[in-house]
Amino acid sequence: MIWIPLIGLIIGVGLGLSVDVTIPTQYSSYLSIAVLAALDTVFGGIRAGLERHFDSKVFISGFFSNTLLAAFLAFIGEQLGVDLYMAAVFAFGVRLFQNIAVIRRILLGKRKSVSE
Amino acid sequence: MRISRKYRFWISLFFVSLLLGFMLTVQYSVAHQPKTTLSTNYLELRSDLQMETTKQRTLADQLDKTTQLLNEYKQSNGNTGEMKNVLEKDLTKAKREAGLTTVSGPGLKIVIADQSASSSNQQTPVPVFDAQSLQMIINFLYSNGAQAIAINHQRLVTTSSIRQVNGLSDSVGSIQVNTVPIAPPYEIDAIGNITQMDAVLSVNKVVDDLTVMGKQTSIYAITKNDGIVLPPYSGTLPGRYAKQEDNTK
Repeated sequence: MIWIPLIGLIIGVGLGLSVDVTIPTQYSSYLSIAVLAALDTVFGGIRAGLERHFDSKVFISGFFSNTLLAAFLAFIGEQLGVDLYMAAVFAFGVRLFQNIAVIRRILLGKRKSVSE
Repeated sequence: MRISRKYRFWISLFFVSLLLGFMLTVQYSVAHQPKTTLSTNYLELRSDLQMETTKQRTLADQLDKTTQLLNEYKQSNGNTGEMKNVLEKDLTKAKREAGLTTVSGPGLKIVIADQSASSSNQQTPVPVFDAQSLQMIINFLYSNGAQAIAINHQRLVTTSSIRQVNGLSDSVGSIQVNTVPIAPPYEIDAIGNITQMDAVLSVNKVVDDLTVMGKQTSIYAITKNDGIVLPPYSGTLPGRYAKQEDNTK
């Protein structure tokens, strides 16, 4: 089942390459923050799934709200002249690594229990 | 129909991954866009084009000359005497262009001497005549028809220098031309288009400026064909000490 998100990712990349969508360079920083938020949500969702308290509503709404909010935060920061996107990068970065660490532990624990 | 919790997990993960992949690709393509700086300024483009056209013309001229020379060499191939003649002609031409021969012709003689009446009681500081003032005059002349110039019998060539040496009085020679100190009165002999050179000097008010500096300037136009005689350049040439490394070894 692990290949399902991978297939989604590959299809998404293929779609992005074939559609040839470009956004103006000045908005690329917002998109990069949004991508980071999306990554964080995906890993959060995987973690929740492995911990067996996954809720698709929370997951989907989290994905969109986090992505949009992060981009909005970056936009507001730029308007105010404060590097607010740094806050988003920091928060999402820390969470991303935490999620990855938890996923790793769960997977290792599973393997251990299987081998035992 | 109710989809089980497990399936919902994978389906939502699938769609979110799809979106993520799409976003990643877009972001990647934006971040790796080739940066092209298009010059849309019409005037800039025009001046660029003009510059390139001039450059091309100069290069074409150069090519013509070199081709002609090559043909001469080819024609005299095998004939040592003729070959020598061609080479000698070439050498004379190169020497003349480099300023290593005596040249004569019509031109301007500019004499810059100290003013007899001293104006030391002036309150405002006056600009001092220095090497830069001399350079300015030379540049005016060269850009307006001067073919060959000498200052106090020091012939100017492409590697010539006009320098200000501080700490020396004018009479000893605080200005050095070709590293030789020159003392006032400064005599500038310029062979070339008299009308053009005279015009540029009067347009730029050179005489007035020099008067402010406490100098008396006289400009003589000498129209005789051998009116102005310029000595050859006598200083060291660039290749005298510094030799090119032989890279073929």
